[in-house]
This record gives sequence, structure tokens and C-alpha cells, in this order.
Amino acid sequence: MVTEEMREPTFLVLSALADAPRHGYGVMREVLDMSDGRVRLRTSTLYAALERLLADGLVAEAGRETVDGRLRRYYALTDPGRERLTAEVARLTANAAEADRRLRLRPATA
Amino acid sequence: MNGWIRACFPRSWRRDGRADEAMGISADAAADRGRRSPSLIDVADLAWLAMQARAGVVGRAMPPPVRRLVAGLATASGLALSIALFMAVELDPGRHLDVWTYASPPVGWAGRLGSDRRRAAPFVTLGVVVEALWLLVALAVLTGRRGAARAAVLGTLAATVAVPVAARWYALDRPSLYVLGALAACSVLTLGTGPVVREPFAVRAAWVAGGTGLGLVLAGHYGANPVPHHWSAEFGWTGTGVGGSAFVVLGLLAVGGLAVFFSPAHRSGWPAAALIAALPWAVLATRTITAPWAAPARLETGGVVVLAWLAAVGRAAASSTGGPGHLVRTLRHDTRASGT
Repeated sequence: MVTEEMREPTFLVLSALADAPRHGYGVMREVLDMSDGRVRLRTSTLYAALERLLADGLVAEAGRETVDGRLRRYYALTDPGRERLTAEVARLTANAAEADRRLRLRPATA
Repeated sequence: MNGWIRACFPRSWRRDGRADEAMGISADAAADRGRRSPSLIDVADLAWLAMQARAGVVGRAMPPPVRRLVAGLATASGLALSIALFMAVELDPGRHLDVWTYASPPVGWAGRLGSDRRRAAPFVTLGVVVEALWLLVALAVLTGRRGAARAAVLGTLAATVAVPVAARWYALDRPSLYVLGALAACSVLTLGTGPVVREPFAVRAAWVAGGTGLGLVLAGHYGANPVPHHWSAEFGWTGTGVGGSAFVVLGLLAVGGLAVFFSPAHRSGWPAAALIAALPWAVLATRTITAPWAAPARLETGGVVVLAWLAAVGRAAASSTGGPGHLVRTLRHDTRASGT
């Protein structure tokens, strides 16, 4: 079986949109905050993820505005996007819980 | 600078505002870091995004199994073609290696442009620059460095474009444009699909391509000639590396193809990797005998190679993607937005 799990940037972009619609740079900043500064998305990475999510219907455009002469598009999570993110969170939570349980089974060394 | 970056994007992106939006994001990020304009890295990143948009890669996600197959095929083909080219041309047939002692005729189709050209000493053509960069790509793929692999592939593309210009400027030999074009196509495909770092399929293909090439070079260096003499209607019996390599290809196909056909496992293994790595060799081998009147020779080395290769790679592709049924299911799965 050849399947591809959701990649971290995609997961973080969906998470950044979970509570409110955001524009591209807002998503980028939110991802940086959520990952404690570990994941700094480049514009090309962010765009590749957003375009794919738009094409897949997990994210939809939620308005445009121009600020200081710069166009901003806002993106929002769709219902399928919310379902997909929920499923991914459940999968990751179950994996983490299982790993935690196994770690506790093994007696501490030294 | 904004003008030419904007011009890099396709017209559709400029018309619907996506180009301006992407540039705005970069400008916002620069302002947040206290800069008045995006850094060179950010500008390069925008140019990269524009290139992906022009290539139609952004926004049109390829099903993961297909993407892995294309990326692995492109990476292995670029490496194997480079090694084949290096061995057949750059090592100066008839001078350094016994393997090529009886090289006749000279490998003009791949490197020589004429008597007015000079060699890129100590090698024959400037193509060695591109070939060396493909080795770096292979090293990065094998060691799992995705960023380095991408940079090295970008380097191969830049070098492939620069070689004809430099060769013309300095009147040096270069590989012919169809070979450089094939290498450029491998680079673009690898960039577009993302280098497959530590993917078993690509890693195996890289080992097979590298090992075969190195083995033949070492054998030749120590006096052994592993390449049998080869008959073609055009030149009769010769010992050219290119012509003789047709038999190496046939050997690889015979072993690898049979193993893949009878393998019960639905996964890509060493035989499949060998077949993928053998493709450029097959192409090079058939290229020497393309004259219309050389049909018997073409049938001997070309027809068999191509037919066997197509059949075996079809089977290998089915194995590596889990079979046609799985591919259809994956396509449906991706359409329902779960392949991200």
C-alpha cells in the first residue's frame, strides 16, 4: 500500500486556519508561532500548500483586501478541510498516546 | 526588481492577482524582519515559485505514487545518462581506457563538433561539468539531504544551459544538444516532482547506475575489457563502448526483466531499479545505428532493447505503484482531497 501522510507544512497551514480565516502572511506568522519558531515557511512552500489545499477543496478563498498597496487574499477552512484536519489530529494523538504507553512500560535504566 | 519578478509569473497569475499576492507576502516578511526589501534568498524563492507556476506544478498535485515514480525515474536517468556519457566520451576513447581502445568510429554523435574545436582538457568535452554535478545529486539523494539535492539539481540545470554558451564562446567541444536536452529534461522533472531522498526505488537505481559505471571504468583501467565487441551494419565489428554497451543493457534487461516479471512481491526492488537505470544506456546504444539502411543492426540492438525495456518497465511501474487498481484508487483518493 503506497500512501502519503499529510506533510508537516500542510498540517500546520490547516491548523493555522482552524480558528479563523487568515491571509497568506498571517498564515506564515501563525505557523512560526505554533511551531515555536521551528518552521519558517517560505513563500513558495506556503503557496504550493495553499494552492494544493484550494484545489483539493480543503481551503477556500474568504475575501480580498489591499493594504499599503499590497493585495491580500484571505483563506478559510472548509468543512472537508475541518474533517481532514480532525482525522489527522486523531491519528497523531493515537500514535503519540501509543508511543507514550510503550515508553512507560519499559523500566527506566541507570 | 519587482517588475522582472512579476514578469516571471505566468500571465494567469498576474491577471488574477496571485503574483502580486505572493510578492506582497515576501515584502511583508521582509518588513517584519526590519528590511526595506526582500533578501536575495526571498527573491530567488519567488523566482522559484514563478518557475513552478509556469511549469504547472503548483496547484496541480500529482498522485504520490506517480510523483515518486517520475521523480525516481528522472533522478536515476539523469545520473545513468551522465555516467554513460562520461564513460563513452569524456575519458577520451582510445587513450586512457582499454575498454575504448578499439573505438571506431569516434563518438562524434555525443561530443565531437569538428576539427575546429578544442578539447576541454583533461577531458574531451565541457559536458563533464554537468556529469559531475549529477554525481553530487546522487550523493545528496543517498545521504538524505533534500535541500542539497534540490540545489545540486538546480546546479545541473544551470550548467546544462551554460555549457553550449561556454563551448561556443571558448570554441570547446561539448555534448550534442539532444543529450544536453535530455539531461535538462531530467533536471526539470526532478525539480518539479521534488528529489526523492532516501526513497528505496531511487536509492537502488542510483547505486545500480553508479556501481555499473564505476565497475566498467575500473575493469577497463586494470586492463580487462568487459564490453564485448559489437556488430552493426554500419561499422561491422567494433569495440565501441556505446555499441558494446548494448550487450550490457541486454544482460541487465534479461536478468532484471525476468526477475521483475516473476517476482511475487508488489514492490519495486533491485531489478526494477536496474531497469530504470538501464534506460539511458539503451537509448545511447540504439543511437549509434539510426541510419534507415541499418535496419538489421537496429533490430539487433535497438528493437529488442526498447521492446524488452518497455514491457519490463511497465511491469516495474505497476509494482512500484501497487498495481493499476491501487493507482486508480489513489487517484480517486487524491481527488477527494486526501493526498495532501
